[in-house]
Amino acid sequence: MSRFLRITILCIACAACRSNGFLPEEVISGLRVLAVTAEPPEIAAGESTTMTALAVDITGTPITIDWAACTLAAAPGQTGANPKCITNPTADYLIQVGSKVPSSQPVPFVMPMVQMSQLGGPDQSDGFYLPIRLEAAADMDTVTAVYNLRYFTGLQPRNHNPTIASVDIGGDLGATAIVEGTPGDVPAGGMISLSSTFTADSIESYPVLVISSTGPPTMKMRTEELGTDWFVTAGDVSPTSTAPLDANTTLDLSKVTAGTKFDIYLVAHDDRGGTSTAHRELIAR
Amino acid sequence: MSGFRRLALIVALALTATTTSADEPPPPAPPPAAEAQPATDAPAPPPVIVVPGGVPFVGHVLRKGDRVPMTGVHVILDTDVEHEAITDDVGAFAFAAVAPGEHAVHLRGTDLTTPVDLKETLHANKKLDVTYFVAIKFRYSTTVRGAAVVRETVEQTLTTEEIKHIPGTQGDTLKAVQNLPGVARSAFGGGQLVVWGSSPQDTRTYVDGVYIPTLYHFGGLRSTVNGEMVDKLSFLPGGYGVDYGRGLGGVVEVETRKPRADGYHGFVQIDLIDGSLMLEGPITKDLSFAIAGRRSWIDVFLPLLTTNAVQISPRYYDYQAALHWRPTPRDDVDLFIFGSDDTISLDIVRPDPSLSAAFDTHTYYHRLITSWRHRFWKRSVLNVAASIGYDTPFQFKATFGQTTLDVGASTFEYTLRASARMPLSNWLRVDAGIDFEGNAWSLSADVPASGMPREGDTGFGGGGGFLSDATTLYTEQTAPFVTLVINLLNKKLTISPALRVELITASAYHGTPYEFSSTWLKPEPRLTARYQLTTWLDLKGAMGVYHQLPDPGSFMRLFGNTAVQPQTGWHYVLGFDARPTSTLDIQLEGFYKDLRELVVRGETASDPLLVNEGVGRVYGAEVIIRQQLWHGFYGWIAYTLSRSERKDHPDSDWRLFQYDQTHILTLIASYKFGRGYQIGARYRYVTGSPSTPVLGAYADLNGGFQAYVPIYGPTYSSRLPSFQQLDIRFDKVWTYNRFRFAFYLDIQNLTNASNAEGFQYSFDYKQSAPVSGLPFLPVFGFRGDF
Repeated sequence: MSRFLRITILCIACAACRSNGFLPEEVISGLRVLAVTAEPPEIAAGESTTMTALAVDITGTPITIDWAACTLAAAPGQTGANPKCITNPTADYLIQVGSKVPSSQPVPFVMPMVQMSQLGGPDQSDGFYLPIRLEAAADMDTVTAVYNLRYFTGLQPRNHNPTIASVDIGGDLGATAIVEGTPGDVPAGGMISLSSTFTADSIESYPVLVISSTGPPTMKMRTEELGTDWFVTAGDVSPTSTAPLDANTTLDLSKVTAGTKFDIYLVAHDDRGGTSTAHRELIAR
Repeated sequence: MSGFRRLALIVALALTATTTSADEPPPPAPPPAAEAQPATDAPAPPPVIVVPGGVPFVGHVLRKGDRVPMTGVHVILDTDVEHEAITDDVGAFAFAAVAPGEHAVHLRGTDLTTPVDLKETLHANKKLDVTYFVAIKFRYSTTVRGAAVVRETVEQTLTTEEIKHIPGTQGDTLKAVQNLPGVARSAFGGGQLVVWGSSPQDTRTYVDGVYIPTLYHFGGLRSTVNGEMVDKLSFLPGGYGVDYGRGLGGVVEVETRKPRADGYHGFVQIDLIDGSLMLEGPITKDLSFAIAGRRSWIDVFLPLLTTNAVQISPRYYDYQAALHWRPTPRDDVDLFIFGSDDTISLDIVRPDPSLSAAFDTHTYYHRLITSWRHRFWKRSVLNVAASIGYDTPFQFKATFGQTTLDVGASTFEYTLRASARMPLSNWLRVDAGIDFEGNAWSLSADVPASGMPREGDTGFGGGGGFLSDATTLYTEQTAPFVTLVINLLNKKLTISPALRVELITASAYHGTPYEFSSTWLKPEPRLTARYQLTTWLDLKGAMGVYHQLPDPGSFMRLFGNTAVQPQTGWHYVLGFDARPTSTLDIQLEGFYKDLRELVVRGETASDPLLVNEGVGRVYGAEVIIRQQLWHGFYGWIAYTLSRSERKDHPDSDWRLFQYDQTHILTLIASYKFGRGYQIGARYRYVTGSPSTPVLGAYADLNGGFQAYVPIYGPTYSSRLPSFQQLDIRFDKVWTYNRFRFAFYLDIQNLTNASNAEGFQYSFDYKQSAPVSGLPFLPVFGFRGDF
């Protein structure tokens, strides 16, 4: 389901609902699978890629992942993958890719020879995808996720992953980059501005087919929409999604005490299955 | 023979194909009992009292507040019964010559709340002209039958005075239909009419015999036709006669009233939701008019509650204009122009356009109806109504970044309805007519390949990519119909066999490789019977066949199937009508509906998106016990017990219908204290609507935030908690001679009951909480009539 439809439903739901006390999605409070990065992100049948999961658990428990590819297409009107890909982990339409693989370990994968009908309908970018099922486990907790690996048809140029160039703390005197592996200092009880930048080649253009009953099919160029999702293990971030031209988000540390060390995770998506992730550590002073 | 009469005869004979002797000179027979206002060729002159040397004493007797002429009031001078006049149709009385001096004047009549005693002084050589304003007992008008040609087996008819003060309706008479048996409660009180287990779009609403796409503005806040223009509201949940069709659900029939010709009148009403006004009166002796309008002002104060970044702007309006001409005592010619317009806009503004979003919907309809009614002698009646209109019953546009979802359907509609009622003998009557409806639909959609959500979907059908499609769909539905009304056993038994034949055509994609044209001929036999068991108890039954074209979007090549066909329903009804007292009505019915060829989604990825494979069954019973005004009290108890199920494909299991509600109980009571005070209450208990349980969820890693996808259990295999709500209403009316002023307070959900209308979930669907419906909501308003 495309993002704006989710936003539509979210807006309607928010208009109807009262405060519910649910933990916000951007705050990591247990086992989570945040992203899968495939390099390359678009492959043809017989070609190989390497997939890496970004899975985290605040308890520090080691995470293992069962990987499988699903060759059962969704039925008309179904949202996302066919539910049977999720509910029946031993079905014969699942191709087992790896079992109990440590979450930090990359997983090689070769695109199988599948019929197009096994991939379901195209998405908004005219892409076909093979669902990759992940079942992450940490201690007694399990989480299921699906990453859609784009199938290269030869009709469009291949997609590439975007690249997060930097993660910055903003301020009146300008942005300061947070170096990976070196915790950045932030003021406890305050609010800071965070932003991210991308390499120049992260946003690509590609042709899409416009099908209409009133005339012959036509092609039009479409520019990728790049979005960055922010996750934290402490504090409150708003907005939770940013775009390259509106990259600033605010981290509220009013409930974070001095000395707290916490993490921020960035997951950047293009609209063709391309992904880039970043992890930074912060310390409230 | 007048031109109107000649034309009426030609049309009536063509419709009934009989050789009745309707062209004979009309005897002074009573006008049709079915007519609300019988035609009288020449009203009787007022009585004349002559006294030598006297002066004229004339006047009018009018109802206090709205100046309605009072007919039949006795005006007595000096308690001498010989000096008595009776007011005529316009409330006038006259004494040609009364001796000058002081006289006692007494007004007497059964409708007067109290006898009126006055004194008048007449002066020599000076005519005295007076107007008396009198207080009148409130009583309901009797149920009148207008255009309907056969008495329906199941029909709830409500007069506007009766339903104006029902709690929860804010004085909107047409909202009362939601309180009748057989009508399921819609979520958030949204105004969808779910009748006898059918989808909202299966129930059709008619105004003066012409279809309109929606009875209510958005959210069910108000009806789209001003209740003050309405004379009668009839609700036919099923098993109805052949003068209506094209829907598998029920029929809501709104009959507008004639503009008043006894002077200029109107009203202004203001409350927290909207404001409305109306003006009516005579233009000439035979010509009168009425105009009305209403506009919401939610959009005026809502920006005060929103931010610049999030702006929501809902707005609706409606209008009506009526012209009534009575060229002869036997003819009525009407022109009625009306329409409704709803807009909702939601803008989420962000510095980055790719994160900004906008959602807009704009729906409306406009109608122009011309109608002519001619009354022959012997209660024969001819009705002809033609209309044109332009509608956008569905339109939605959403933009998020550079992505746009846009779907809309507009139609130019043209209709003709003609019906004639011709009594042939004292035991046989022929009712016949023709019902034509043509549409030129402009359809466009730029949406996900799965199309828009449908009943039975377990989630938002957003799978697949985006497709764009547009076409013009032409549909024409022509239905001649005939009913024989046979009275037997000294009129204790009435049997009405009837036949309606629907000739349906649909075509689209003209001039493209995908052009199609389909024609269907669908006979619809129907039968009603009624037997009078006792003077107060009738046994009744009905059965009939109904067809309904799929919604226009179903014919779209990329989102539906150009080969979809009309859907079919069989209705069966058996019940009793009882009237144990003159003011107490009891109706009890059992019903069964057999639905076939329903349009559903294809079962597998290789099927067409839509197929006619669905079937449905609905069964249940309903009862309404209705007390008309009796010693200041009126109210009703309505209860429905039903079950509605669907089977989407031959190899599928039966499942509950989306709006199935086992128990629907509505209690309404209102009491008039006198002196303009009235208080009323409404209590409702309804079984929770079906919902599809969420068994779990997975994270869609390509989707970003809010990307968890739920895994659903069997469709509609659980239910929301039951609904119950108490509403109260308080009215106070101040009545003066020439105008009336009213205040009302309508409190919905007096106990602030937390009724679940759905569930909201945490982002990963591991936690859930109910979404509550309407909280405690007081609405007050003012109204002035003159």
